Amino acid sequence: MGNIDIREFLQNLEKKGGKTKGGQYTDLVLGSLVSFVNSVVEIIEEIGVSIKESSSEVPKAKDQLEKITQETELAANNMLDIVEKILSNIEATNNNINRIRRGLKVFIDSKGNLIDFNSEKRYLKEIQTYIDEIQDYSYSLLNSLQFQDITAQQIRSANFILNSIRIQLNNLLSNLYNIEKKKEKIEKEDFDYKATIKNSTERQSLADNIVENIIKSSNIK
Amino acid sequence: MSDLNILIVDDSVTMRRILVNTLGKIGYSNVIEATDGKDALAKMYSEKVDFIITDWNMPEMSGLEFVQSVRGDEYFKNIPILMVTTRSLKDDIITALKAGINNYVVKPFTPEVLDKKIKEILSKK
Repeated sequence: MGNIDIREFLQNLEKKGGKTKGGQYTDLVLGSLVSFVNSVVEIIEEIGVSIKESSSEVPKAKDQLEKITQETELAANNMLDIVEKILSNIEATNNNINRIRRGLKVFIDSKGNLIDFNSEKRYLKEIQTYIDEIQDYSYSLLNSLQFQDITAQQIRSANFILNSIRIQLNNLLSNLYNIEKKKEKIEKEDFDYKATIKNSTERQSLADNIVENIIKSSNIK
Repeated sequence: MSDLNILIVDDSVTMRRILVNTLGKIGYSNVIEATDGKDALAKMYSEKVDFIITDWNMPEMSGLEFVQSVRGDEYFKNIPILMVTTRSLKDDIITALKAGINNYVVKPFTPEVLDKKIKEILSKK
């Protein structure tokens, strides 16, 4: 389209069409051409408006995704606070169980005989088993919170795609309206778009094989 | 409890807390935290570091760039490095090994895997 004002051009063409000596046929062709180009211009203008609107919506979508990352990070850290408190209570309980165990060894009755605390010892052993299980569950819960880091990477990846679309749309707008503007470049960002929670055992074993083979073949230091 | 000073480099506060707790469970309570490669290098000049656990994808300075910086530094080059990352493609693992890591853990990890990898590295020292 260059620097030509398309509407002005069409108006001139319309006037010229009227003055042509070529007869009715030329007038008819020019008239159709002008009306066709007019409708194309209208469509292009509508596309421009749509692109403008879409382009302005992208930052909103980006903000929304960033909010999801912030919210899930907050929730994951609230859960971490709770798990840390549970683990700290477990440690204190374990210490108390050990104190009681030590204490039971020195109990003697009024006649100087050692008191048999077998049933108490059995109860303590059971309590210890429950406590150990609660500790294991707490660590499992703690480790499952790794999902937050993985979803954050996926959201960063979606944000990158949205930002790329915004930049492409803006560059398209500049071309469409012939705006002299420095073209924005898509900056490289550091994230793993393939980050996943799935198959971590299989992926770890693949990593182990690669590490072992490479170290064996001494291709690296 | 081991007296090993472990530097954790990860931009995610959630991951750093998980690592601190997991390391505590497997016997390592001396932990220093850094948010990316740049922050880690700064901390290494001010605190004693015996072992590094680093993520790969981080802002400012990536884990890979950080590993290259450590290996290129006369003073730090022999510190063992364990990479803990979501990246698990063959090419990624090879790239990290070539950069100088000692071993590789894929996220999400278990305390058992983390413990095993740390012990493997320390046994080869």
